[in-house]
Amino acid sequence: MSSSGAPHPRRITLIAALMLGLALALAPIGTGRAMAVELTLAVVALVALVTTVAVWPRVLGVCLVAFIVEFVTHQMADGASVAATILYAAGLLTLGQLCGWVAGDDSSVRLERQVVLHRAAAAVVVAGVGALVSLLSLIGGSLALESAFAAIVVGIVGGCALLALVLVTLHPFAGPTAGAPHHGGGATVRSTRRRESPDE
Amino acid sequence: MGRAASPRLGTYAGIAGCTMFVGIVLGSPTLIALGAPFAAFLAIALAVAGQSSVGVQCALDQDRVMEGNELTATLTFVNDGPATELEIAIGLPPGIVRIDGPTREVLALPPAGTRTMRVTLRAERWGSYMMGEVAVRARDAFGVVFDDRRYAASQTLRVDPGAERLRTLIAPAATVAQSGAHLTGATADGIEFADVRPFTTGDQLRRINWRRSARSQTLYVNDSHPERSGDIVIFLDCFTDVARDGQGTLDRTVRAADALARAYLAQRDRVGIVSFGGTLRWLTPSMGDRQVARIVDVLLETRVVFSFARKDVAVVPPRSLPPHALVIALTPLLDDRTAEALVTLRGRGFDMVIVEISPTPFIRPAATETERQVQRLWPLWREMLRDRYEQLGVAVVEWGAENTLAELIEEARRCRRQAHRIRAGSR
Repeated sequence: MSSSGAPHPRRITLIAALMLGLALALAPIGTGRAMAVELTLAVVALVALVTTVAVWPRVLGVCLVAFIVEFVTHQMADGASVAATILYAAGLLTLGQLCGWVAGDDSSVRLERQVVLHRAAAAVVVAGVGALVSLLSLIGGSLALESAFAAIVVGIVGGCALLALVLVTLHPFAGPTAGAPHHGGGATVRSTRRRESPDE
Repeated sequence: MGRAASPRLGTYAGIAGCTMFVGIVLGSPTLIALGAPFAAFLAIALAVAGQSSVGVQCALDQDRVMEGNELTATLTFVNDGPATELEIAIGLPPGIVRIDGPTREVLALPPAGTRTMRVTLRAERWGSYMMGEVAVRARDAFGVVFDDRRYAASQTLRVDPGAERLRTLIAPAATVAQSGAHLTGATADGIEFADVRPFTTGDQLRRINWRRSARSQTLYVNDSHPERSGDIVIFLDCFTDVARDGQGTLDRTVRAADALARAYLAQRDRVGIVSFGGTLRWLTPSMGDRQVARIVDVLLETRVVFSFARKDVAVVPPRSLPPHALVIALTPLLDDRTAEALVTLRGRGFDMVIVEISPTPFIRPAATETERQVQRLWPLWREMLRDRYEQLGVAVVEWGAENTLAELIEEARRCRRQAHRIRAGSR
């Protein structure tokens, strides 16, 4: 946003990520015997989240793993509803997206209003995709429990397909700079310096 | 530079792989339900990302501006790929600033479309600049893959120094036979009244002084002083530059030279320039608007070029120093080579004024006792140098921290008038 009085979009994204992280950390904490473990994992996840958004974005993996372990621990100890699982999965994916934007932007960078709107829409899409895929996974998982072999085969095929997509997207056959116009690069300021008089 | 993946890509792939593997092994649908969205997100994001290609064109609305003026740069981004966001960082040369926003910005980019952006810049300092480079980072909607590129602008921007207007100028002792603004002592056709003398054959009738003629019953005519132009050579000392906080002796030298050249050329004098430093540059005296542009071009490229070479005025082409030219030397009087060259020029009979660009305002305060003693002795040495020039009949005026160029010019005129009176009195 260009207006000087409004808070910077990065700050809003950062606060949203922290609030969402807090909600994800506190939601699975129950009252059962695993509460101490859940609390410890929640603290680890929050510390990792703060480190991710404030200092080192590469800690995002630790943060997400801590959240997942906390939820699974809670689910194994106290059980969890299907809706909670779906919401948690969508929340985790959205949290990752918010952390990615926080890490990608700098507070000195100005964001256009249209970019902010695009990102808000993308966050909604990400949350929706997370919820939908999580729901489908749960349905598929309940069906696959009857045939573990089929589940393993589908999992391996899916993993290979994903790996192939990653490799193809990041390493196209034509090379990393193919198709991109080359407009030169290098020196920023040059001043021509002539040794002879200009009237010679 | 080039294509790169966000660190999230590896993180997501790892989380998806691990959770699904452990979920399958343990038979836990919850783990799979938490990991599968990351795998699906990666699949969608990578399929959307594709191969981005953004081209940048930069154009300035002016290629020459005055210092302090604004100009507009138009950046055109041509997007041939699926990128939807473009982060740009405009690298500007020092002396040019953006005034309508930060130099880093994230723009929305239409996929397979063109986007134009206008940037208002202000030229803060004189100089000849190659406009900087633009670094762009094209991102897809989810920001998983990005493409970094740099584009160097090829347009040159010339920023003319903001010249101080001078009302009075130092008149040259000798003039050339071309009409100008300097009043000469000779009597010929002109505007300024000089004397009355008896009519002689060939005198124009319109010059007859009818009152005087009526009183004396014989014809008298008015004589007048002609207005002539002079040759002015601005001598720049480019061996040293004492600078602090973006200002320095060379900066003042260039500003003074620009102001003097414009003022002299405005009153139809022929102005030339000699830039005496590590590299020698010169312009033979000439007049007119074209000469203003040529002088400014030389001034914009004035800089200190370090050199050990022993140089004297012998390296200066003779035609750049016409006989009877007024030489106005702009120098901080720090380099022996310039000091000697000025003495030699005076010895050859050139009419000369030295505007000493004092380095004192730009010197940092003394920190040690030794520096303090040096800073006490140094002004004495400079005073001695000034005395040497004054004994040679050269007016030396010091441009310190508080006075303006116009005041200096007035002081130099006063010095020259006094010297003229002393010379006239001693005859």
